[in-house]
Amino acid sequence: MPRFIKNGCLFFLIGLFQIYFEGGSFFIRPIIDFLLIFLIFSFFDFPFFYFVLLLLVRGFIFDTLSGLAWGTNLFSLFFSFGIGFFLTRLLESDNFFSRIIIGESIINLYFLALFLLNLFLSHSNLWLIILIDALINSVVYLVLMMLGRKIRTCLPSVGRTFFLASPR
Amino acid sequence: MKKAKIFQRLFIGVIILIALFFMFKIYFTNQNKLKVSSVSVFFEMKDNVFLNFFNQSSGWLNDLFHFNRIRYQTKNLEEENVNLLFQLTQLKNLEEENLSLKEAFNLKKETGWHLLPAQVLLIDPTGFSGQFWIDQGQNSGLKSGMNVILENQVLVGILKECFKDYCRGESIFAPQTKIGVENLESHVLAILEKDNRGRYLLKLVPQEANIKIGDLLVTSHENTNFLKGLLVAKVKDIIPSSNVLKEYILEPLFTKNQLSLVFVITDFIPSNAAFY
Repeated sequence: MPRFIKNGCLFFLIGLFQIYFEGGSFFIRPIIDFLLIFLIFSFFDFPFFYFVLLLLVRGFIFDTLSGLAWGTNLFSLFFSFGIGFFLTRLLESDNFFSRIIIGESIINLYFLALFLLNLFLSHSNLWLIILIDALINSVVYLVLMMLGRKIRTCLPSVGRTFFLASPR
Repeated sequence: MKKAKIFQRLFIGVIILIALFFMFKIYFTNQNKLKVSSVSVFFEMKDNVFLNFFNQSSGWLNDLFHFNRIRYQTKNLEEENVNLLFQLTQLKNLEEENLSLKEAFNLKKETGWHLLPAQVLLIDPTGFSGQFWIDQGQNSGLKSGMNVILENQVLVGILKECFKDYCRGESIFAPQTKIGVENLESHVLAILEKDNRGRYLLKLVPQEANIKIGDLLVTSHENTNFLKGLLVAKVKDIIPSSNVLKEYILEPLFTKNQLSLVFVITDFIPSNAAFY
């Protein structure tokens, strides 16, 4: 129970940070989607129903605020994490490199779904921004995975507190 | 045993698909209620010091990364300010002359637009659409299609959807923005269009049109969505071309990175407001 509360609070804080820090500007620009990356980290360590709840909350808030067609964010999240779920069945989800592959796949599939849905529903072509977003977020996820591994190996107690499961 | 496992998995998969179907159905049916409830949660938190800190630190970091550009802009603005002060003194005399002529001919005093101030609550956090939410809605007499401006008549955007206490607007930074504009100096009519790279281009300009760098562009009478006379952009550069029509690169006048106060023109609703 405490880890669910901890995770929920972190999700809430990162969500507020995403909305008020990244969302403080009118300009169309690429951003680091910290909340998506947080969800990918939580995806490996939390049960299915709790995680679906997080996806729902993230989906409907971003559908409200993003200006894209209603349902675009939610569908993209479910699509990308659904495929991620199947990948966890094929690959060993406890393995460090598997987590990198699964995480990167989720990020790229999410942005691909966003691009295609936006193209068909809103007829607006955001390919450049979405491509840059996908690249930036992929790099950030990779960096955070590497950092996380270093922290877990150098400071096991810190790793146990902040990273609830240690991939081998 | 294997068959039983496969059937079990198939059954679970079908259950999940059905659950997803109903979930999305409810999600789409209650679209408006979900939008209003999520915006009202942020409205309750709007004066939170912690969240304002996020907002301000975003602005601070942006300024830090664009320090040179800001320094250059400040220098140009100081020079422009001196030139404008000089022009203002000349225009003062013209204003007095205009007033006395109006009195002499008994002309009615021009009434300005009716402006409703509104605070910007939220801006698109995904960086895709330039969408924003304001804290006024149908209860304040707002309707979709109304124009949103700054206090110096710079066009910010247009209201797309109005609820009881909130409205959703789309700024001019939205992708595929197209506005009919008029050059203030030469009265040439053209189209301001945003391309896929995020640049604002002035298109459909005849070769013989007299447009110079620095010219101001306002919304023209050709727009069905925007009132005439709102400041939109200024000419930044010309795109060399051998075509019949010329193209220019524009710089929007609405350059504020963060915004808290806007004004909604409540006198004007576009004729195709039903499409919003």
